[in-house]
Amino acid sequence: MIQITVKDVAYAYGRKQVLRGISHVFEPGTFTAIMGKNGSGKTTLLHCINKMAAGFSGEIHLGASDVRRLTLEELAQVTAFVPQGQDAVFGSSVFETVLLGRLPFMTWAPSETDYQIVDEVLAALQLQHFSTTDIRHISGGERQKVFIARAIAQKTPVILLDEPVTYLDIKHQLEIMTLLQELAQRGYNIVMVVHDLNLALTFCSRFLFLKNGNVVYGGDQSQINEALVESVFEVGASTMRDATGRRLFSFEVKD
Amino acid sequence: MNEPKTPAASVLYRRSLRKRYLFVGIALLLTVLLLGLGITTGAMNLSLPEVWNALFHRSGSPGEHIVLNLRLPRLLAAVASGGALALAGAVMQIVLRNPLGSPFTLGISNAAAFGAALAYLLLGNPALKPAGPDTWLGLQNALVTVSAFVWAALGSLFVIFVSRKKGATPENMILTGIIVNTFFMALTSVLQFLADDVQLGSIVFWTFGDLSKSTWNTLLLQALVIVPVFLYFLKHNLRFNALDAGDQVAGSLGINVHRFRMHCILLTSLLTASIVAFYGIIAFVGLIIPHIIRILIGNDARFLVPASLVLGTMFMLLCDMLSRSLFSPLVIPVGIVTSILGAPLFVLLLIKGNKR
Repeated sequence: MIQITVKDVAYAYGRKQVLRGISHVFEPGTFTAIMGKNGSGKTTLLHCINKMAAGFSGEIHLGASDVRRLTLEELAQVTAFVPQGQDAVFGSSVFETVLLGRLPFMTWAPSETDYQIVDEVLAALQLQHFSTTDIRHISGGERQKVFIARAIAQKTPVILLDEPVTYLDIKHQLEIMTLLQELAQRGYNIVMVVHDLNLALTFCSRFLFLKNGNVVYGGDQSQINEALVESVFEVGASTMRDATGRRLFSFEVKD
Repeated sequence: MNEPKTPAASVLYRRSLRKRYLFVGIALLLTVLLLGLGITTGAMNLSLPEVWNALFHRSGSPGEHIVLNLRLPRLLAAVASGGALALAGAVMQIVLRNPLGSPFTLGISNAAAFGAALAYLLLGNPALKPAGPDTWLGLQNALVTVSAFVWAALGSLFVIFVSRKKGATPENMILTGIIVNTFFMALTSVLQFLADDVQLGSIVFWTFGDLSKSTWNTLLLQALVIVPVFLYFLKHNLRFNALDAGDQVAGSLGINVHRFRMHCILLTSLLTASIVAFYGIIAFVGLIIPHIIRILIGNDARFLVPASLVLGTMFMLLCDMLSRSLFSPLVIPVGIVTSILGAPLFVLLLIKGNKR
């Protein structure tokens, strides 16, 4: 159970200021959607949390630990990361890919525990039937599940994901969102960058809206209204209810 | 009735590991057989007991001279060069995330060759000095290696610099390799133009890639390079699998990707330089051997790295035998054999790769 505390974080790529003083607390047991237009700083924020964007100003704490003071090895035992778009050059089997998640805990070779964890994760995600298949030869949706399986096998309390469902068909989107929702309910701290607002509204419990590197909104979905959505995404937005009474948005291009 | 139960994924994985261990084991066995064959056959065939006596009961027989001063240094040179170059190729392909990575295709061999040529030109050719216990000879050998290494490292750094500026796409890397190759070949040509006849002869002959230049001192130096570098790669071979999954994944698994990549490039340059500086350019081994292993036992670096060393050795021992026997008693430089064998093999790999 680890809380992520982001305090006054700013970051620039060269002269381009991407984050301008972000503050937010990601609670354990929540499934947070980071949303905003392209270039609003969503991915950069994830990269600051897992030290990929070195040299940010402000503070980020994972539990009581200052991220800056953690080595990459220590960090890998607290946070797992599923980046956007991953292409293996040479490829490996599904089993080997998930086994990589145990790397932060290995010295020379995988232990019995490592094998056991990978078996459990593969079975839980129903991936065990093609454990020997090369990940380059399975569908995009299955592959994304394998990458998430690798992150789960890392057994970290925090999982960060950068657009894990963007290129997937509806069935795989729902499968992966359900899986992440269940993980959050079990106490994991799940933080995900996502573009599909309606999908996020269906599955996520917290929302962080960014605009030009600033936080526009952070909280649950009760306060998300048309005016906020129109301002964050710069589109026309109107709400509607689906058959189950859930609130969804429809969008139109704004002049 | 019970349905047949599918074995757990880890059981299937461990079964596949057994096959890979077996593969490495068989390759090792074949290598030992080739070594045995190599040491007994030649212009004068020796029996195994004769070889044994030459090695362990010094009697001053002609066989002893052949084994200790001619065949064994040459065979061990094949072991060192094949192993080091294939190992360097395997690691370069992984850390540069490029199937075409190898000491030769990225221009590092030619950069090292230039460095060695430069040292030969400035220091005089140690091969022309009288043999024997000579500290100056040892120092010169060391300086040639240092120069070859420095230039190999500069070549590698240039490749890394371009890949960081333009992105490490296969196209960029190979174009950069062509640039580095052409540039250093041109610089070597300048040195050849400036060299006197003796120096020119030794520079040209040395670019052929010839194992007969090996001495016990050279081999010792190479062992001092290859063994620790191999152990370093073996210690970190799990990291190689993570690198193949991408820099961000590797970083999130606790690897300082930039630093690790730099270490690997520098160490592969050292491996390349320690071979090229003494034997000249031996092309294709570093490129092809890792691919053959990938086809046979997959990409898992835990096996790819040690298997590259073993198969590289095997391939080089075979090439050495061919170089000695094809036009016997004439010995062709082994670099020519590896290129002649390597080019068609590489075409086959390309075609097979495109089908996939």
